[in-house]
Amino acid sequence: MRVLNRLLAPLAVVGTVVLLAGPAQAAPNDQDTSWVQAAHLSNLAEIAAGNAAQQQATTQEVKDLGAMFVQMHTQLDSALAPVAQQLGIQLQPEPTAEQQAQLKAVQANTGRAFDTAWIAQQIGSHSTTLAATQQELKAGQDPTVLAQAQTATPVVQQHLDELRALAGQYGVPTSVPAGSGGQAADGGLPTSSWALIGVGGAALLAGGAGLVRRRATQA
Amino acid sequence: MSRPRLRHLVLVGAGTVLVGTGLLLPAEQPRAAAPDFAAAPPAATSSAPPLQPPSAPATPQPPDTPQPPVTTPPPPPIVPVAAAPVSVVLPASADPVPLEPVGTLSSGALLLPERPTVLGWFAAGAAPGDPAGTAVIAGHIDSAVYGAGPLEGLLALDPGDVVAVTDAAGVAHRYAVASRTSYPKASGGVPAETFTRDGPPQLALMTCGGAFDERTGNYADNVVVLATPVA
Repeated sequence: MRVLNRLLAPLAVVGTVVLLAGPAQAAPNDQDTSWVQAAHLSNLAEIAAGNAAQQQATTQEVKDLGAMFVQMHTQLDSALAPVAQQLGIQLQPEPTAEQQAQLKAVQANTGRAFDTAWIAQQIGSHSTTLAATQQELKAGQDPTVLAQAQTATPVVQQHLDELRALAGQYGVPTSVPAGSGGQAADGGLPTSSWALIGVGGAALLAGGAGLVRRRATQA
Repeated sequence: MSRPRLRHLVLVGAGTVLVGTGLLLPAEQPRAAAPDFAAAPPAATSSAPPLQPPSAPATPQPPDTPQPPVTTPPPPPIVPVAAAPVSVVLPASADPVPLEPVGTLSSGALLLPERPTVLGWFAAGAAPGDPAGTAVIAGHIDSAVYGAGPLEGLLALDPGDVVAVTDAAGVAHRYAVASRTSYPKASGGVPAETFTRDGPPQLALMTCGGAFDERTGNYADNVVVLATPVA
């Protein structure tokens, strides 16, 4: 929890700066706008995933990580919302349909498979969030948005580190069961077979047709 | 017997013999038993990007070269992180195949999407675009329920074929096929070091191959295609 306080302490400062700053002096560029919107959506998605972990995970580690995500992404979003409001950036009320579908797919797993799928999905979403935040730090313009990205970076990095550590407990796969149909094991007929069948079929048709025609003529 | 009638009978007889012979020829080798290959070592090593950034000097500067004065402190190092991969385009088709992050079950098995038309990215490993490590993408070659999938194409590709992975940020990461290796499951299957996050950046495409056991519904081998980054 001490780590949590240290990571989130800058949020209070950023929030105060935003409230005291009054109307924005510099317009955010497209990068700033898209990052604020994406960061908000990822906060919403991580909060939903954290709640799902607390309800469905079988291991205490995943439940605890889920609880931490709910708390920290709620705080990140509480600091982000006034920035968006001040800059006139519209925020979505809920995660995207794709984000909701991804969580639903994870929730379709039961038992330990849920924990495995949840950790993997969360590594993916946190990697994407961190990559987007690094892009904002590189190409963003608005100081208040950049401050938000600076604050979010160590939080998301810490989540990613903890997820990777947890995934490490499962180790690397010792088996890759990747086929059950047997269709790829079918050999089929070689090309030479099809050539013989084609020529033979044509001869059969020609011969048969000739015989039928001859019989009809004789009749 | 008249001559035209004889000619028609000969045609019918010959046709029957030809069709019968075609059907009786031995079946081709199963596609799942694709042979291993590896690119020539110089090509394989030269296609790997340097681990150092391009701006790093190749050799130390001579001692008498004056060093520029340091005026500003270096910015804090940011280890670039790649966004999660979302789709892959395989050589056999232009259609992107969707990806989802996957992990290891407590049994040790890789938890893969049920449908062969969706592939899994081993999220605890490297991601395509990471500066180091092997990004693993795996999936079912076929399924008793859903039929065959796009990874059948792994059994027919050649060295140098390009595989492109697109991440959630829209960045395309391109790789050139360098090798294909079959690992018998009875001998341990895919080596553990394939899942490393260290070493040169590369892509591993993984599925099943070899003989199919109708009784157990399993293939005998895992097939691993390694590919190295291209610009």
